[in-house]
Amino acid sequence: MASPTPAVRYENSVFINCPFDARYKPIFEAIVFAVQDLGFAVRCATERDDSGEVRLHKIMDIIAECKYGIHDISRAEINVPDLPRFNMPYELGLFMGCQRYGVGKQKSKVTLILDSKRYRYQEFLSDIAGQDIKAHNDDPKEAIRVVRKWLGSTPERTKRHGATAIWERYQQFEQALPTLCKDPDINMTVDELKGSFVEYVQVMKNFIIVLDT
Amino acid sequence: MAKAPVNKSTNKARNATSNKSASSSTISSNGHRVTSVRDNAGVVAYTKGSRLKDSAVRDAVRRVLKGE
Repeated sequence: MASPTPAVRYENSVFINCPFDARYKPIFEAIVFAVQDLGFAVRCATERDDSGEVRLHKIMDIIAECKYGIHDISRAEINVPDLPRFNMPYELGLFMGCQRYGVGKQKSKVTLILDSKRYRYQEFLSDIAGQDIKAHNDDPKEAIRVVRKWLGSTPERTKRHGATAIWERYQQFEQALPTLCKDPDINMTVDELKGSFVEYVQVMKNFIIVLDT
Repeated sequence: MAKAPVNKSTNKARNATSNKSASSSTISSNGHRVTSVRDNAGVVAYTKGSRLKDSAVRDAVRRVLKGE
């Protein structure tokens, strides 16, 4: 029997703060799948493509709508023009500030900080010393394991797959995607789908639903 | 009125989701309560602005997984 999709709420929403470059993409996509496969909604800055909207306001709105935040600072390094990338640490600060100074449900915010190596952050962001920083070693499978362990212990988790099962389901999704994109009901290239974030997560969501039935 | 018998195995499945809104109960023709976990139990996504329809995407996924 068809039934309405459970609602996206503050308590089951996860803000993903990470780079969007091609090199990071495999980790980002693996995290997006893991979050959805554990029963949470993914929110990130790329979901709204309104050029008339101030980017920072959009990010602040999304942060306010998410209880959980995954912040990957692994690419806060010197970029091509010889300048560091501050967006991820900045948005991490916004999220933690919201938890510290916000009111009501904002106080319940929970943060996961990811880096490529566990103690690397001490070299460039020592203010977060004392936080529990997790390393993904630039490995999508390890990123899934870390996210599974973190979200798996939350009261809002609705699904019980282990990290290995999530990884295998994600591989199945990745393998099916080129054929799936050619289907008349989707009808776009893989790159086009991945470039349209809300449609990408929608295809992912329905793939997970079909796998579960 | 006496309570209708409840199928324990379906209750187990319902509890596994820890989300009561993800299950539904109906009374079958023989009077038994049938509880089933919804096919989208626990899967959520923020899809505001998408042009795709969930049911069409699910049909496409089923076709691909069946190798059609």
